[in-house]
Amino acid sequence: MPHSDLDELAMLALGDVPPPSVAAHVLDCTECAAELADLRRVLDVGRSAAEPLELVEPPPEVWSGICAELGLSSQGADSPTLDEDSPAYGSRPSSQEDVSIVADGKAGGDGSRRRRWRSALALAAAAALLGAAAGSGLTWWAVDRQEPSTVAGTSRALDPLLPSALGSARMGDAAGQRKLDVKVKGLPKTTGYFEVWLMDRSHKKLISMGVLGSDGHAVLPVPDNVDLVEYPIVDVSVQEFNGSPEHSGNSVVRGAFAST
Amino acid sequence: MSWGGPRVLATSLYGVPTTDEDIAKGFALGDEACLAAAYRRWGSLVYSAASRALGDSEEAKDVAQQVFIGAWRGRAGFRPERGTLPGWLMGITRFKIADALDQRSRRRRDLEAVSAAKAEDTLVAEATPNAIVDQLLVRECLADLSDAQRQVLEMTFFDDLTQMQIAERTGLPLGTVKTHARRGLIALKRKMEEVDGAAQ
Repeated sequence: MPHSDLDELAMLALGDVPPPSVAAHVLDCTECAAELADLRRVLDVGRSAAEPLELVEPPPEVWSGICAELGLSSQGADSPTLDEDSPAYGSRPSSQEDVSIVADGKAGGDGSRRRRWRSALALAAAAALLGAAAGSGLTWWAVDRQEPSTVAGTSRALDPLLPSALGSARMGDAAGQRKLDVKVKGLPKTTGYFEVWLMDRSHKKLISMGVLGSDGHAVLPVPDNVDLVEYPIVDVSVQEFNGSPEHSGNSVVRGAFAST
Repeated sequence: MSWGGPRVLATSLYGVPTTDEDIAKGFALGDEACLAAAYRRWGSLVYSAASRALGDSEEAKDVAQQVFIGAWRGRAGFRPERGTLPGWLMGITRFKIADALDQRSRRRRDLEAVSAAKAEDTLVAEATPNAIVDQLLVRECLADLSDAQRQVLEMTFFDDLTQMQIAERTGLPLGTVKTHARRGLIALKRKMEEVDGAAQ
């Protein structure tokens, strides 16, 4: 049986009575049922937007930050001031009598209508596309672009536990062996050394992976029998030369590593 | 104005892209002027969504910045023929907000782990970031519909009127109201759809 017309699905969504075959079809067809659910969600969202939210203009440093990060020439992209005449979101038509009858063409018949509205897929896609930016993207790009590492793939930014620190990490294969690639910039001065750890989510179980040199970059072998599901967090600590094998409690960066 | 190729790209630096569609097409083709135009046009939308969802202007600034940087770098995944640029930007915004909230809870866990301090339940209102994005986006998309469709839908949404009541108030034939509501709803859905071409 052919899929229902979007127009007919919209009738259903709006509470109109479509031809009986449509309702029957939707019961059997997951695609059309999903389409109908999307239309109903648009309706719900529309109803929820009755109270207009005020739009706030971003401060100027947002745009200058974008330009700086993207290395944009100022040409053509000179500090745009925001449109003052952009549509007023809260505005309502002044008079309800002036509804004009527009003979618009048939809408929505563009063949490729089987798209989910804000589907999980789209979110996953955005995640994949922007995987590099997971964590704090800005700092990650700054760190990573300059030093290609020996583990292929994209790193993930680690959270700074010291304000100056910028770190990223990824787990991957290098020369057939599982390796953890860690980079940290802005390491604090120390008379000791920096140690790299894998941690579980509670931060209670730790495995020492090795030492991070003062250049802030290390590619460390990770035994194959370490369960990365159990130890998904990487941590870099400042250690004193005091003979204690334990984590000092002074971390520089910490966070989930990217897996490639 | 048509957007056919490099020649057009070069000229667009001097001619300001005006329609949303021109902006979207130029953006997809890598025209920096269209990045600026997109920021002018939808920067407030993105920033407001982030600011409302996160309740913190510093984080909102960071998110807004990341959205446009991410969108520009990932513009190959944006297909103007498959969805609208604001829909796509808001999809990225949604993701970035979720990411910021994630980081926030991770920071909280880290603090707890390091200081062994008891977790204070200072959960920010995290329940509704998607709803905020949706509400802003639906307003934005409504503004793009034809006048007749927008007005019928606004009366449906905001005044909670039946189609019969709308017909009575506007003097339009009921059939016409139904058609506007139907087509408006379909157009609105299409505008709100995010481009899953981003997956490829």
